[in-house]
Amino acid sequence: MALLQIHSPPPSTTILPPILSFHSPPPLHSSIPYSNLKYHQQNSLHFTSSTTKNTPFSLSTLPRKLLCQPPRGKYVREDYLVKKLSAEEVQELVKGERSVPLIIDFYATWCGPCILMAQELEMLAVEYENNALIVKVDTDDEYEFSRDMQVRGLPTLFFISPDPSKDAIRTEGLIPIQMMRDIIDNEM
Amino acid sequence: MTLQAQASSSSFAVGIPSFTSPLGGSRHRLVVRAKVEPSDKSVEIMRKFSEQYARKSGTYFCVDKGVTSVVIKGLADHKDSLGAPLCPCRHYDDKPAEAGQGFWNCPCVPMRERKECHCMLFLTPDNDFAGKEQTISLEEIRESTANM
Repeated sequence: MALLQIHSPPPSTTILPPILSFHSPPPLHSSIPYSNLKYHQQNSLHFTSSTTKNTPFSLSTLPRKLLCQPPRGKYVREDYLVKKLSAEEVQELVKGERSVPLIIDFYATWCGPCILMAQELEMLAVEYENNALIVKVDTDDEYEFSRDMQVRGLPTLFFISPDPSKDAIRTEGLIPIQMMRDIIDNEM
Repeated sequence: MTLQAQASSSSFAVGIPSFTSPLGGSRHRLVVRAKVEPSDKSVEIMRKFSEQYARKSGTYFCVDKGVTSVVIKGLADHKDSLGAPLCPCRHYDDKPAEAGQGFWNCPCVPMRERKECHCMLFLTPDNDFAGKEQTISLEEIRESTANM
């Protein structure tokens, strides 16, 4: 059962369309399992969910307890598709004209689920190539921007349509990659 | 002493958090940013705390110990910089105030009341990401976060 809520734009210099909070359906026991959803009544409605995922990063042949490679410090190097941007660059992107959806990932260095989310977004970037633009913002670096955007739980994703009349969609917590695909394909 | 002075002026110090002052604006608030590795002592304290609390609460670490390691380091980093292990998976308007207030100090209120840990540090057995372990070694933490 989807629950949409329109938020008034944050009082700041950032320019963004009105924001919808997107809720996923209650947990289902399916091939893509969901964990418990929870619901904080704070400044904004959000949800948290987690799911299993397949990662392409299984390079080691040694028996390891990790599902994927350890997080790499050079995740901002050039060959990563999801680029880390500054607040000014993101605002330029949002203000400017685009023909593809924009996905902004707000993360923090020491947030575990953000690492998993970053890997999912890399996979998504490979899948969508030039049909979606995915960028990330370090909330510790861009403190004021994150505050203006009312980022609370991490990771937080904003999905912004190229159509300025459509509302932006915001999600909190680790979400399944299929949900991201659904939002991009159906809502944008 | 000299090392500390150097450390505070550069961002490459190891084990010593650096503080940046607010960039303009009318608010005179100390802005605390995570820039360097947490101290070994704090990591060890948070590691022991995580193991003990997982046992006590009947929760388990993630199958991917990388997630557990990163969160433990995040807690250690906040303990170093703020004096309290503030949840690393949230963004705060005022970190020192939040650390003083205590709602999001690990174990946070949602965890204590409902066993909900959105950092995926403490997972209930029915969670699909939950592994079977309630222990993690310092070596595992170091290995998983070696490249960060």
